[in-house]
Amino acid sequence: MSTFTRRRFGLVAGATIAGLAAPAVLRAQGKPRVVVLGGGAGGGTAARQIAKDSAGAIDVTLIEQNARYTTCFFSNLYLGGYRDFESITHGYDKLASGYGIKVVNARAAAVDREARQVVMADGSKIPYDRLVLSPGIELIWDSVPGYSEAASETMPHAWKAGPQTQLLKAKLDAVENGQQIVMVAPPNPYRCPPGPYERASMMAHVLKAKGLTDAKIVILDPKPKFSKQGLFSEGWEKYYPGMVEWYGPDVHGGIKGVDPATGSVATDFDTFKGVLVNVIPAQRAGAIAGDAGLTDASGFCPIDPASMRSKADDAIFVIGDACIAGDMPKSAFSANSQAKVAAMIVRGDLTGSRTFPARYSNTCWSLIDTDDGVKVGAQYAATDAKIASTSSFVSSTGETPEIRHGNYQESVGWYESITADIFG
Amino acid sequence: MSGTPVYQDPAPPGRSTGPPRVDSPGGKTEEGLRLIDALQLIGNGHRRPGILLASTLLALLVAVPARASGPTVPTDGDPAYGEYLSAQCVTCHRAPATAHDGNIPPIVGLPSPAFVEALLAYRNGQRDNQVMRNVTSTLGDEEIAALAAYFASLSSD
Repeated sequence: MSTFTRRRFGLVAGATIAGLAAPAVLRAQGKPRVVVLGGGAGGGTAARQIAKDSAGAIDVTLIEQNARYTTCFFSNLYLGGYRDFESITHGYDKLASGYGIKVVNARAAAVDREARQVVMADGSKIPYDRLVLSPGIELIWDSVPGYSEAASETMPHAWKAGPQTQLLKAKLDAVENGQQIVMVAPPNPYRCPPGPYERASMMAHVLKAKGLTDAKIVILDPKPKFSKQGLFSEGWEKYYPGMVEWYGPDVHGGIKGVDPATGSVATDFDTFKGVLVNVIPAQRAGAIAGDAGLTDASGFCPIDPASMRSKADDAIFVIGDACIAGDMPKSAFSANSQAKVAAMIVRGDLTGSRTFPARYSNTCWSLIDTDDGVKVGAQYAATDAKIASTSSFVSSTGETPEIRHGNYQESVGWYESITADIFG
Repeated sequence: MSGTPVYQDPAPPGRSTGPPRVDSPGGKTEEGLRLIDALQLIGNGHRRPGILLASTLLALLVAVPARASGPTVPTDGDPAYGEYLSAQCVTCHRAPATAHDGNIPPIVGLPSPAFVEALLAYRNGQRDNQVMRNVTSTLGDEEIAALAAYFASLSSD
């Protein structure tokens, strides 16, 4: 548990509210139950925040199929050799021991909205008064013709961190001088908008550090432009001249498909071959959200911008990459921010605790080369229509090395803080 | 007194060429800003000057309350509101603080006047960190007061 104490006010207030205020969900026996589904940046934060702030008044269960979680954020730094795999991998022990959260490391099969329970793969059921759904993304394999889950064993996506990330690194480390890497970038909307381009930077960094400057990285992009484009383009020119080539649709004319057997990507313009082909397909909300009828035609989940509550079900909150968050990008920072709003509203629902106007925030840092970090960020508020940006910034080209170094240092501090915020 | 740079703000000489100072409470001096840095560092154990020095610094701060808290920020912030708002802060400013979180300074247990002064300096454009400028651009005086009340209620040990 946290080591700081409250001097002026504290647990008494919480206990009074829980004891006196008539909770919206008054159960005949036991405490109100919150189930959080998905133990990533959104789910971990929500579970911890609800358990911490309700001080025992709410029974919190976190369902996550993996006992250890490797963060997608900073996985590019593992690829680039700046972090080891263990340093981006986290367990749930502290959430269980420090916050009284019941952690269930098993696979959930479905949400039974009628009965308000999560049905586990083994058939057991976990009932809830409020469900916080944070299932992340599902990859749409056939959005790239010829690609599949099986094909990802030879053409890794590495867009869900774990063994795929290690496979991508092993293949990157085997690249020789003069050889080519091909990346198929994803269409919008997708997890981590600057991620593919930071990844290309980290690949180039590894190759250059080994003197393999005749190796090349070709990015085939379905988008005409991308996040932090000016900053990445400047960095590639500066650090990796001739090593990174980006082709938008006006050049390649459309990505027709991949062939895992030959390691090739066909476009209208040409066929590109790589010793390493990294395919990042289109994405939608984690399958369990769609199966529960919480998604719309976009494949993601509409939510109320002021609360993160599902527009399809008042007892369910959808946070993180799976939701439609208006102007917010799909990032760990966004998911963490959304989780805090959802946690506040859930507590208000169940214990009558005070609620405040929703505020959201995001910052995304990207590393271009050693000590050269850039960032983009914004503040957000709820309007009737969406979560809308109220103020934003982005790094500039031509910044001093001191500023860029400071950005990188800041990102390292952020990683330590947000992972403590998520995993305890 | 030159503290370790907080958030890698550029050196003071450039400040006069920075953005115009709007809503600046009494036109803070470089000395005042460095005082805040020093207090932050003292409060967080990055350096351990004698008690005498700490007392002197605190006395200085107390002696100029109008400058320290600004004329518009109320001193009776709502700590419950502050607790909600603080959740955003701790995404980067780890709570409880650890020795080194990159160059992001700990803020738990910071005295209210120092906390308010620092946030106003970002909101006024006197400090340069883009993230903090952006964050404070959406914080009104009520929000800053609430945050200060909450963080001051926590001890850093």
